[in-house]
Amino acid sequence: MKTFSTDAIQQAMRSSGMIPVFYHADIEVAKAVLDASYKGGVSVFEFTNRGGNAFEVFTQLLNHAQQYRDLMLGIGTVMNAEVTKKYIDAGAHFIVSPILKPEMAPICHQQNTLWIPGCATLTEIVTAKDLGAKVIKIFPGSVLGPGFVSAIMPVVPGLQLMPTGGVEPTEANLSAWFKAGVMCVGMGSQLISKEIIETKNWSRLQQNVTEALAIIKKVRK
Amino acid sequence: MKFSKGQIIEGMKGAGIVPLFTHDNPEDAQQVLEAAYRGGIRIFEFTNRRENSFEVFGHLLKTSKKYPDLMLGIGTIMDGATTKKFIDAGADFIISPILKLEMAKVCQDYDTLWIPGCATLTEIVTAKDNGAEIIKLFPASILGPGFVSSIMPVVPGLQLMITGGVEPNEKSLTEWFKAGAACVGMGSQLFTREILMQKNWPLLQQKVEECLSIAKRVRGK
Repeated sequence: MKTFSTDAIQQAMRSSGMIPVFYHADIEVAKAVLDASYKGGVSVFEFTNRGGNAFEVFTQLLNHAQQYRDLMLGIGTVMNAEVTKKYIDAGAHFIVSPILKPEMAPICHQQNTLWIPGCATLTEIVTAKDLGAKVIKIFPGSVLGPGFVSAIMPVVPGLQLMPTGGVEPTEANLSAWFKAGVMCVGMGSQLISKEIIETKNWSRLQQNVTEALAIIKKVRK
Repeated sequence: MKFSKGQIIEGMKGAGIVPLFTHDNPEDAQQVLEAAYRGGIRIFEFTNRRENSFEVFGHLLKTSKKYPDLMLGIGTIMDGATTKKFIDAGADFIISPILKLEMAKVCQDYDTLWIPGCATLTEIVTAKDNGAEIIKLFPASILGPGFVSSIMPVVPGLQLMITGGVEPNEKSLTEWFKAGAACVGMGSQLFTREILMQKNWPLLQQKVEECLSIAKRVRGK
């Protein structure tokens, strides 16, 4: 099974500026979403641990992802150390959490796996950084807003932030986030809409992804 | 210790405004401090955001000897060791954008006023339980005056310093003081880039005077 260094994953996140965030109980749907995202230009993908069979779907998705040599597949919505360990053992390339749970940090560090905790205040962010987090998820992004990021960036130099939750694939929204100084954004239902899933419109999804990545490239210039 | 904690808190509440400022040029920093003093400021926060902030702060401390009623503190302090270093140098108070409990202990040991930065009620009450008599709300523009008015009845006697995005005009100051702020911190909105670039110290003094008089007026003083 392929592995990636934590640096390589950070580099890929920074370079594309966006990671899709997705969960589905049906492995066929999950595969189709991953395939369309990859074809659309994504190289880092977060599947989320949000359903009863998430672990089974994720392990099958990892197998499926083997065909894409440069695709990094991580797991999100991980809440504790035990589940962190289970997913790292299964081959997850990185671990994302919506919360700051310090017990997850040493598990990730021991396995040399990128740990991306979710934070909502500067105190949480600095605590995460002190615990070794190289990338920090800002959640829920839409509640805090780009103004939160621009207020804290001058206070703590070198932060790599990834807002998630309510980030929209529009020029106005993406431009506000990147101007504020984010490293990349996580995008879920705004990118992979309910309608796309219901109609299995994978070519539309691929197009959405390509467009979002192009907007990011443009607003970062 | 030049000033007691009580004196500093009374000074902050009396003026309603605590200016915060950083600069890597000691001469310019001194000019700003002296213009602010001439404008009526007696409590000033220099922030530890540059490589040479400790040296510049040392220069300002020397300057402040000319003004026996000037209280000079340091902000953007993130840990216990840096807290100790600045207290040893002679800082009158310590401000942080985060809640870092090890700082509480150091400040307590040296009987120095500790003003931690908080962004949730849980952080605020934790700070209070650890001895914080005055708490900085940061970044305030994200939380808004509504946050302050919601929590004030819940924690009686709370003294909040509002920092981040407070504007030196009647509307902004009225909103914050009506909500229950003890004082506001004001940085780039007061010490504008334009003033600093032009080194227009008389204009700075005038802005400080205006700001202090607005703060007085909106509080009916």
